Amino acid sequence: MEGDKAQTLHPYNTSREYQILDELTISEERFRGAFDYSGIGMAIVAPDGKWLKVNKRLCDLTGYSQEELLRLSFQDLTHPDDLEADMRQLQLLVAGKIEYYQIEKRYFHRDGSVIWGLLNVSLVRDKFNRPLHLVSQIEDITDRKLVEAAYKESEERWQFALEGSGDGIWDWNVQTGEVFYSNQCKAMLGLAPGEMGNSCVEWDRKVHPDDKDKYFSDMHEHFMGRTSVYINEHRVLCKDGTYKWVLDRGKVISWTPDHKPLRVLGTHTDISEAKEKELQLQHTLDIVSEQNKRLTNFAHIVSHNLRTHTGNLEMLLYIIEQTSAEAEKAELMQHLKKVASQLSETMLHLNDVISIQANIRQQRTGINLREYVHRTTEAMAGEISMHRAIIINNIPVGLEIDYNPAYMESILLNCMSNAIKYRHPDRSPVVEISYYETAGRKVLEITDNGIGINLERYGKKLFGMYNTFHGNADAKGVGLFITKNQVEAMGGKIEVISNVGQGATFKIFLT
Amino acid sequence: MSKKQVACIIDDDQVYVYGVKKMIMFYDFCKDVLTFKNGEEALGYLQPRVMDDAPLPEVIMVDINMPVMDGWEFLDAFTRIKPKDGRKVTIYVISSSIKQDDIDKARNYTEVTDYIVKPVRFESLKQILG
Repeated sequence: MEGDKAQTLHPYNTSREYQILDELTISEERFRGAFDYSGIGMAIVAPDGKWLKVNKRLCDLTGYSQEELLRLSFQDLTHPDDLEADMRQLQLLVAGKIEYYQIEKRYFHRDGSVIWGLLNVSLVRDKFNRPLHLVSQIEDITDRKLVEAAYKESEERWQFALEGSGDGIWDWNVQTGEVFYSNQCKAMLGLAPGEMGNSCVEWDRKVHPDDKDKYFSDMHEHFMGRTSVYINEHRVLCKDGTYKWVLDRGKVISWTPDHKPLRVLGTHTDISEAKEKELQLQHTLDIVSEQNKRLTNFAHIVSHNLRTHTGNLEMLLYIIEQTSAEAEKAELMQHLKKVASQLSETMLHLNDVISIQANIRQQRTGINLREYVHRTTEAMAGEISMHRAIIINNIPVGLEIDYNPAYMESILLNCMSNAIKYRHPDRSPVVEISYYETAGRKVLEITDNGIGINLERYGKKLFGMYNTFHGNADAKGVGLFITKNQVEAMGGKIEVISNVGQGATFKIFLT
Repeated sequence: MSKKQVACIIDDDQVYVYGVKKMIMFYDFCKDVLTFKNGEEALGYLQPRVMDDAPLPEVIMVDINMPVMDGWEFLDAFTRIKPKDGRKVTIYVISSSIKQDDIDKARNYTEVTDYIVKPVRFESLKQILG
């Protein structure tokens, strides 16, 4: 010490020391500048958590003044739920296990509200490697966190809504053909998640053949920009082999640079129940409208036929009043009687028809068809032998069908009788009665070789009431009308094929 | 208006034909009444007379529902063969039908003067033939 230079008041007495001091000063100023004016909250924190130095931004963030903060520690401001994690990281940092840590945590603002911060902490050690102080940077991420939370909530809601609604979701990359099918898409078809692949072909080939054309063309229309949204209803094949109606909706959400569809998002909704009801309703409507037509038609027939006879009665009575001659009166009375009986007969026929129309649950039993044809042949024995008719009974032996016995008798009698009545003058009548099934329907066919019917001319009127075409004196024209009514009442229909001079074939669909 | 010479009834209802004919003769509405059971028979009579320039009935009363050839078919055929000269034939469609379709259809034929619903009463006959 004696030999040292005399200590001056200046603490530094070499230029090098001045230099270091300058550098330190500059560096410190730089640091202070960065610290004070940073847009991020910054703090120097003691290892026990006390705020040693805080910048303005941190004060703004937390709502405290500098003096207030310096009296607190970071633990005072930390949300209890985030404190443990923070402290743990701090311990690791102090222990030298990590060099820094970064966490998202919540702080309480001075006013009690919560702010989210992205915290970055590093440790400064002294020359003895003891923890000196922490350098913390806190970025305000409150806004981002709010958006994140809102997004998460909305996504959860959306997911919930989708799952709750039972809709399947699909996400289709048009260019690669790859499709993501949500589990619900697969579950809708009775498939487990692993039972359907990720290709658009997977769904395409399950579409019902009758619906395929519209399925593809609807999507095409949307791709072409002609529809704003793709909507299509189609049947799709389920695991158990049945078809289910599905409402398919989607929209192209991104396009390739050359304006081809790139990504399509969509949903599948199970509408099988609704569709069933729709089809049933349409069917009911069809039936009702058919019934309505028949009723209207029938009303006209009734009106026409009754008016004819009552009109005649009126006329005759009027004339009777006007004439005085007894002989005349007698003649007129004859006519009156005739009209009265015609009126009666009409009423009877109409009654027959009404009872067919009104009888909703037509009684059916099992009948042996071949046997019935045989019985009809016997009933017509007189006519058959008189005109040397040949009846060919082609009904298979033992064939049993469920039908109303009285109607079957009436139908067979009518058709056979017609066949003989309208025989060809040049040949003996041959009537062939056969049975077959086609497209799931049972058909009774009666073919004759008679004079045939000009269908072009009379086709529409053939089954009308009181329509006769051959001027045949005892053709009252009611027969075919009744037959048609009976056949239709049993749920079938009757058709005729004929050429003039070549006979006729009556096809009666029994079901 | 002078009395008509010949009236023509085309109808298959024999009682009706009897009644109308009786009324016409009784009130002397015209000199003669021709009756036909259906359109075909009527045409069989009318067609040759059109071609031969022979006199035709001035009034025809035709029914709709008849066998062999009904009223509509008769009207179609008559439209084709009707006289182009001055012989006027007035046609009435007379039917028991009250269907509006039938009434409209009848009125659509230019040859048809009117549609009358049966029964034909005295007043109508007087109007037609008087």
